[in-house]
Amino acid sequence: MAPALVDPHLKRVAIGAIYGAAELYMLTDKSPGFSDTFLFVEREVSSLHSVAGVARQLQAYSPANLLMTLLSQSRR
Amino acid sequence: MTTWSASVPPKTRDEQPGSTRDMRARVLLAPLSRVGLARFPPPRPLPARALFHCRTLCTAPPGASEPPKDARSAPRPEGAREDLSEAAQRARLLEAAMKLVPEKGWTVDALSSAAVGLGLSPAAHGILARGPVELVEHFVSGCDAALAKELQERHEELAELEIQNRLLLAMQSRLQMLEPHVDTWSQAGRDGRPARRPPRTPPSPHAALPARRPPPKAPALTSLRRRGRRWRCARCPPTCPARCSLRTRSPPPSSRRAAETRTPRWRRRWSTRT
Repeated sequence: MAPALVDPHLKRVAIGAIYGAAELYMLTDKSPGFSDTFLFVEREVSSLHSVAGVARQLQAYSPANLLMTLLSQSRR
Repeated sequence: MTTWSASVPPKTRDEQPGSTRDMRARVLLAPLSRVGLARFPPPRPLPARALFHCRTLCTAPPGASEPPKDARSAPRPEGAREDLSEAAQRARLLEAAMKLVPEKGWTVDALSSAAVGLGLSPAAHGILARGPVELVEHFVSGCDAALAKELQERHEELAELEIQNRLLLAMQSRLQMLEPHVDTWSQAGRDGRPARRPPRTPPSPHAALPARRPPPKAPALTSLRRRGRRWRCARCPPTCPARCSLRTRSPPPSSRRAAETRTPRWRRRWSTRT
């Protein structure tokens, strides 16, 4: 399942930033068939993917969640 | 009478009404006119249809746009599509200019040559009020629409992929649309904006002060002579503002006494002081 970023607007901003950077990269790209640009896009998208995964995992460490886990453990 | 005028051959100069030959013809053919074989129709004004093609005069390259012989009898195949409304003109102009962009860039030049290619005046790019910016906008919105259409078509294929690969595919297809214009795309952002004015700075307080007089130049070291109490060059007047003896290289000390006079007393060596 795809990791969900917190805010849909944040998603747009992140994707737009990657696209804009790729466009700028393309302007100075001399490699045949713009392979460097596509590698760049791939790298950036995978890093965005991992960042989004981290963002989803961080929700588990929010204070409310920690409190809930502590309470549930103490009840046991 | 109107049916007749259609079959009349074009008149030569001599047959114009009022010329002598015309009068002779009238006299000679007078008996025939009663029969009705020959009648001289009054001179016709230039038919308005002859002015119809003036719209395409001058600007179209020769043979580029063949004016239709008769618009009613033989309509052009694209005649139905041709729309003279402003929106259609703009769209056609933009489309034509997009083909010229790789060689001319995102400039007014591309727009005007596209207008010439369409048979319009080279100044017809004025229908695009913001000039090349509209061309860029047209290109970007066209690319976005094409991307949306492509993604819609490949919907099933994309639904199977992960979101990461989906994103990658969409970005790649969007970047590929940009490929033909990579060389000129860097101008596209710049041309649209108005020329950037340098930031306005408050005037420097020094500007209000009167300009300081530049220091007078020392004359070239030609020949230093002793005139009066100072060493002066030969060109200096006796009251020299440049004070050459101070600014120019002083003559080599010729004697011990000269060295003594130049060195202040507190700097002199013990040996010289005694």
